[in-house]
Amino acid sequence: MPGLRLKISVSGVRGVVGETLSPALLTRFAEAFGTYVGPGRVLVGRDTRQSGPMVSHAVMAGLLSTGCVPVDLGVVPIPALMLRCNGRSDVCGGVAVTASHNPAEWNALKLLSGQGLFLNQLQARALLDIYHQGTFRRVPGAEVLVPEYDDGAVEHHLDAVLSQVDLSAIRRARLRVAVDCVNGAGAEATPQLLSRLSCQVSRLGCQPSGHFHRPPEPLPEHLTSLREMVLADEAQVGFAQDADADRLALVDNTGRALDGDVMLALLVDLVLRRQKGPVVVNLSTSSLVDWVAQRHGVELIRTPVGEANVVEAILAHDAVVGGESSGGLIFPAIHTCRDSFIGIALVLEYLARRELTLAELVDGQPRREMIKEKLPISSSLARVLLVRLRDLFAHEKVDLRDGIKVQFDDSWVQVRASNTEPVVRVLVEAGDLARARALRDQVHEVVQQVQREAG
Amino acid sequence: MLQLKVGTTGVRGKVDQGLDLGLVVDLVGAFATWIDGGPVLVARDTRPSSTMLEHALLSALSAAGCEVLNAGICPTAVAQAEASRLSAAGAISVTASHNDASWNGLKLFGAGGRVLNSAEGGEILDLWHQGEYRRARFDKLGAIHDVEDVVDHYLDFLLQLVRREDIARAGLRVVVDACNGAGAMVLPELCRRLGVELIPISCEPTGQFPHAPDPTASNLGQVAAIMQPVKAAVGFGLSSDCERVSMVTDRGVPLGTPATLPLAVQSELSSRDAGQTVVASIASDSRVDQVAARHGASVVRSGVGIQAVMELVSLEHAALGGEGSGGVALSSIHLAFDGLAVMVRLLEQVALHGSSDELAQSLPQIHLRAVEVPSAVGAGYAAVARLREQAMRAECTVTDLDGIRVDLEHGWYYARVSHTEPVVRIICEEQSAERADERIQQLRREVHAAVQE
Repeated sequence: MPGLRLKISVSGVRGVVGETLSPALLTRFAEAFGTYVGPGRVLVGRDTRQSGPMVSHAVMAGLLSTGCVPVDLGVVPIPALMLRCNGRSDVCGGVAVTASHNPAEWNALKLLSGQGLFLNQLQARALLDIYHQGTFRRVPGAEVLVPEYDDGAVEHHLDAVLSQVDLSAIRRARLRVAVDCVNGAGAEATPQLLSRLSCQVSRLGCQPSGHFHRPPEPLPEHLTSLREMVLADEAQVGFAQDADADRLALVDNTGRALDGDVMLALLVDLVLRRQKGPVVVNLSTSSLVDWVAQRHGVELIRTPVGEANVVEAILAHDAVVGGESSGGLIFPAIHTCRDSFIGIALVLEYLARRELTLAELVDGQPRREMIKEKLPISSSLARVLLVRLRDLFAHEKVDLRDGIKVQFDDSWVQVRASNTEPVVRVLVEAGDLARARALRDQVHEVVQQVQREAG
Repeated sequence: MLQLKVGTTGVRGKVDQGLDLGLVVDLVGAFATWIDGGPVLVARDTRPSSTMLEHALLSALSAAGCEVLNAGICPTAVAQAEASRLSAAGAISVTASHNDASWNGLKLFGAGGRVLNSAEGGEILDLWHQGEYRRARFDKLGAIHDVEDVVDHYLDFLLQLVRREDIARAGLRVVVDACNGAGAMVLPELCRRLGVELIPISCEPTGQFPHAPDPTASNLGQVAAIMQPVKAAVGFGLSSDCERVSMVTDRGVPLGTPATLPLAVQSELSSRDAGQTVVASIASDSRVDQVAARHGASVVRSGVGIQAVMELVSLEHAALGGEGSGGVALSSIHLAFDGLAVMVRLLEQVALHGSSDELAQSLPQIHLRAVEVPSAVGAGYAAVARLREQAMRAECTVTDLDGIRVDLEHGWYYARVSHTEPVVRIICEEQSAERADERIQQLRREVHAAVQE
């Protein structure tokens, strides 16, 4: 479906400014949300995208129309917005105006409960139902309330992050760090955090301008400038965020951009060194995390992919840490949301002890080979494929909660259909590349067979 | 019941029953398309829902690629003056003017804050009906700026055009009821710079209206009551966006909105040559004709509403134009219904010619009555049509300019479906109070009966 760049789903509404994401659609969606969560105070925060004010104003109008009081937080890291929702008892919901890692022409509304959590499936379905019915609560003109402003969310969040780490140790170490905030929502708060930790900071993308000098998703291949800066300025670590500052990526002291799975295992290890307890990751996360959990003797829980699933399991199992390899560390002692800031603080606390460099710490992990692929296939054939794979691996250890995941002794393969595109994602992990390729080829064979049969 | 009025000057409706945000952002999209993405000045009155509509406007204008100059709370005419100073391509005032707080609306203005003519308004409505609006790419969205010192700029502009020394010398004490509307942003500083002592009533920009924000005689009881106790020289009342103004005398008599135009005619023409033109809507009373005649001026009748009045003022190069609702534009100041400017002109008159009571006494005595009959939209038009048929059968002079005006031997009456509310407005003037009472009652009964059918 080329040209259709709008998605209204349980994760909110996402579209392209100037094409699909119009003020009329945005006010309507905000009216549906205000009808669902209100009346009451709703926190509204945004990343730095140029369309942020346009989108935010439409949201505020829609919320006012339903009798809610929008509380404008302005540009704010999304973890700070989520923590603020949870921290204020007078709040019934939140709206994050951000398209996160999507390119600059996109924007989106992400919807939060009064506890500062993304709406779960049931809540989101109720909201969509109200949206599609199109009848919203409307207050008489004389009873429309007055918007409020709250500029305390960043400080609240930074205080919470700093309260978790050994402040004086980090300050004494005078660490040399580089940071790339992609001119996004972390552009002001992140340097603030680093200066409160007495770091010597080399900065990239620290203007809250919304001009993304690289694709906002902090994948290793997007971090060339940061890697160069780490090497040039002899930084001990480089930090990169996405546009709403929930995701983190790391560059080590040798200028290597770490793979998301490698980073997650490392951050989980740093948390478990401080406190033992259950760990939650998704089914697609590398077995490096199993290795970490085993070394600390703690339980590892796996969920289907998606932040909401991970968060739900963290709450259910009282986990001390969780996350996904896409860059989201979740540290429930502060709040159950992806938070790049606590990730930064934990790494700095480790480096302050001067045991190992970041590169040495990474090299201490066992070596794993991963293959990640997207194969185009219609969604109906994808179902056939999954049944075939289930039959093929009937005698192995199979997990069917998210597509199919087959666990062997030293390797695994997962095949899952995408919710948003006509593709299946194939993930393979093994101790060596030959074994990984063999597993991948086995899946390819079945895919080809299924497509041949369908003609 | 849905209460919504869309016209060629903008839109007005009940906030929770008709004026939905979708409609507002679409209409603004059409307006932005019409001005082709130029900069737009945005202002609002104080009512609670105005902030909501302002946010919707900022989003819609930005999305269309229009730079937004946000003037915040200020009277509509002040916004027009600021749009002129900043050479904005258009202006929008968020206000329902004299309607109560459950209403709101948008007044649309063209380049430099100029009142749109009906053809221009029609073009905007055409674009709205077509439903395709200008959309800017993410990196070409309109920037949103706050405009600072709007009131100061306006006062600089206004006060160079009035006789401020004369006013200051008179040492006047003035009572003004701003109904907690947008006038509250201007009045204290205006009076300070004029050297006038202000006794403020409801002069906080809170939007909590203690009465309907329409300066009719019955709404200005508070002003009337304190005129003599505080020994004030003159009193005024303003609508929520200061479009309308009316005067209260030093003896505590509220003159009502229909007296504003004849008073303004007197003040504008007193120092001018004969041969001037005055525009009055067909619903305004005979005092305009009589006062104009005293100064050798001619009166041209227009349809009702700022657009109809202003089209004729421009066409006829009139000295002023207005209507019985208390909205008056003075060409010597600017082409806007500017209650504050009219108020300053009347202060000049009080300062120069003695008391406000004498000023009121100088107006011809007439017997004017006005009522409103609630009606569903279709029924209202049918009722007016029936009055017209009756008048035609009785072989009276009927003018169809806007609603119907029927001229009788010793008076006239006028009936029209409101442009802004679901009512039929009826006005009549007769030579005696008894006959005026009789006439208005009879008309009310007839319209009421017709509406009931």
